[in-house]
Amino acid sequence: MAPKPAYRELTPAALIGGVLVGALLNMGICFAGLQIGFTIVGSTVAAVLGFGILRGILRKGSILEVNIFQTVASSVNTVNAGVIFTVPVLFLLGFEDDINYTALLLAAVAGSALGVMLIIPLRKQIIDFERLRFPEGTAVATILRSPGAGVEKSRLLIGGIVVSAFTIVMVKQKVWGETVDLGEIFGVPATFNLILAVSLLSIGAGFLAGRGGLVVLYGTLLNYWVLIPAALLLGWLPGDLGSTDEMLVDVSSLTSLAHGDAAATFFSKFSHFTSRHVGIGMILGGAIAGILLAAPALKAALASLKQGGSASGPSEEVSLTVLKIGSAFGLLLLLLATKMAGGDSVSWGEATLVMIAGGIWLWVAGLVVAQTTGRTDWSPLSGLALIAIAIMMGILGTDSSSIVPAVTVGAAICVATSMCADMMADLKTGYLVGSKPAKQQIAQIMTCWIGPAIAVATVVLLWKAYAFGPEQAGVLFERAQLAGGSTLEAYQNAGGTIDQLPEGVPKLGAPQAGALESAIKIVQSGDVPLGKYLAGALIGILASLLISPGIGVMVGLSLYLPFEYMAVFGIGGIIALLLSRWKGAHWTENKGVPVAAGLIVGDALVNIIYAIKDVAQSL
Amino acid sequence: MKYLAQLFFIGGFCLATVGAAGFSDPIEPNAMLMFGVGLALCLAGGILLRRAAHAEAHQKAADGLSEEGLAGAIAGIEQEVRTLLAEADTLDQHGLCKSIDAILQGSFFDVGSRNEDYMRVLGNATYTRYWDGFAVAERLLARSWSMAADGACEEARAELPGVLSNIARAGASP
Repeated sequence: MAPKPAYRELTPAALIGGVLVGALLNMGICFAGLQIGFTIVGSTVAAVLGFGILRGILRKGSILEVNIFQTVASSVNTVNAGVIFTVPVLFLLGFEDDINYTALLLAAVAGSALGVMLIIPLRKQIIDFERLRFPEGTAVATILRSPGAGVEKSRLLIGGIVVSAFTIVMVKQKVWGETVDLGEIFGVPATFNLILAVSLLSIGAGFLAGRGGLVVLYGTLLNYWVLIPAALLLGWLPGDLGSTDEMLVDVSSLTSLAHGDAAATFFSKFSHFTSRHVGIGMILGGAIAGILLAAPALKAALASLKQGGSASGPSEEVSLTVLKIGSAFGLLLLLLATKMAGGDSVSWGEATLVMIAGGIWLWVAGLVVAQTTGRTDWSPLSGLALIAIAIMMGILGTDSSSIVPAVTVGAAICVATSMCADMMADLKTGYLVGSKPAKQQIAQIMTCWIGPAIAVATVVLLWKAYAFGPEQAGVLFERAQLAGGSTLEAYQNAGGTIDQLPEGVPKLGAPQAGALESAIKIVQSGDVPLGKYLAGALIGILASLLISPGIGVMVGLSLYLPFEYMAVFGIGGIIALLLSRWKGAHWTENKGVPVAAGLIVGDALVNIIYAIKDVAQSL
Repeated sequence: MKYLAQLFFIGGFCLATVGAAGFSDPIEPNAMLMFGVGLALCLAGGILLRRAAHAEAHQKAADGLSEEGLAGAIAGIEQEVRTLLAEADTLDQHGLCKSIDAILQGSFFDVGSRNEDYMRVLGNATYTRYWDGFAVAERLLARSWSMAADGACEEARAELPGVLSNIARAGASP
């Protein structure tokens, strides 16, 4: 009789399959991110594909093997968020000829490695002790457990997927609007924002967050119903904002605000000027206070790593020695990348300072995104990247020669923070299905260099092929003019002008990079609102120390993100609490969680399908 | 007192946040005053809320939300795992999955879903001592369930002694 094969967990099929699926998702989402301005986290899609490939096609996958597959695929894919937010800005600012591509690649790989190495010691505190929900991580675990969880839970999961997918298709096809203005329906003055997103994903994530949803709702109402009207009444609007056409409304009078797009634009822009910076400060303060409060748990986590695991066995976590060597290697890469990117304009002393400051900030930012993702599924990635670049420019100077090394290091930090959020969500999934953390960590360490390489290469290739940004047509026209002759003729024959893209060239507006470009210009002009950051941090620290470590982080996040999604997220939390009181915690867990997971999965699947469709149509 | 404390805290939080939004360059008129008063109200409300929480902790101790209550709940889980371990060899795949799930969704869920309350009432240091073993045991039991659901019953049974040793470690923490 042939010996029974060992239970499948960390296998070559999971690693190779995960890398291949992650690479495809990475390229597709990079393209979509440059086009639409935001990226899609691919964990749920990777889990579904892992199921299909390992269990459906190869017919030998296990729940824990699919977990490794999904961990690898999402880690290879997810770093694109860090790359497409930062790297394109170098091209938009006209530094194409000054970019050291090797340095850029080294920096992105360093960021990815450091993100993994620095977040592993926090696993025990965030997942075991704080038990943060990680809505997407929980949704993925629900998918993985579905074959053995019984018919009823599977039906609820599929029901959630179908309802959510149908809703998002209706929105994408413009049958339904992206938002509903309840204020207009119920006759509430437009000054009190009641615009809600048609987003079942947000409801599902809020449901899984539970009580946390209430705190988010409080923060959102504080921002939009108290802070903005109060600041408006007090006349704190920057002088040059009210007069621009972009505002679409006369902000000098509260009563002039009309419902509809004008109100949405108003709230978006005003929130940016009043509360966004305070919100980021509050998140940072809350996270730092959380670390202080969690000192005993961190001590236990480090003790566990020193033992190479806990009492349950020697291989539960990657050893502290591996983490120390990996972190040292990552920091060395960051040092080299900084020096190579800056050339003669950056001394070794400055590069060392950048490495130290970058390493510290990367750890703080990683902790912040792990906390925010754990509590809500959202993270202030762009805000943290902006602060990172501002810190680097503070060290290297604000003149043009410093921008390339500053953005290069900023890219490393942005990649690291996106990696931290993804890895913690995957470890949460692993906790729920019972994976050994060490196996997930090894899989992620082995493959963490692949995603940044693919994302950087994709961005550079897209720039070379199509250019991107608000002036995309102008850049392509200039290139055609320089080439002259038949190239220019072909360009013009395809309908291309200085203002209009030729037929067949996809429009890649790179809106996130455009936002970072404006931010860099603000840093250069010295108008960084440091006072708002510090005041927000003080509130965050105080609230977290006095009440709960989560308060500062969650209220800060709701000051930072748009009302329409945060309010819907809060509604999800209220539904969970009401159901829990009405039907009991067990009922809510057994019936509600599969539905909520389905709502998240359905939305993610449809968004990925549309992204693939967009890429296919454009190429 | 609790409601007054909440009013102080929430009102102070709002006022301080509005004040913080006025920290432009130059600082808006009244922003500093609003921030300072807000922060003071926040501090007063927070301190009062902490006092109220301590008083509430005594009440909660009666509901089992105390160190003794947690130790008792963990001892109950330990007994359930012992019973499962003793019966595991006689259970088929479906029975094993069902028995493991009953403990995961039952006792582990009951204790785990109150983690924030335990953290608040026991304090971080005491909470961490109990929770280290509890969390490892919960994960290993989930691992056992996944293996049983995949039909790997032998491997699933082999994980159960690890679950028992960790939950026993949690119970023996003090």
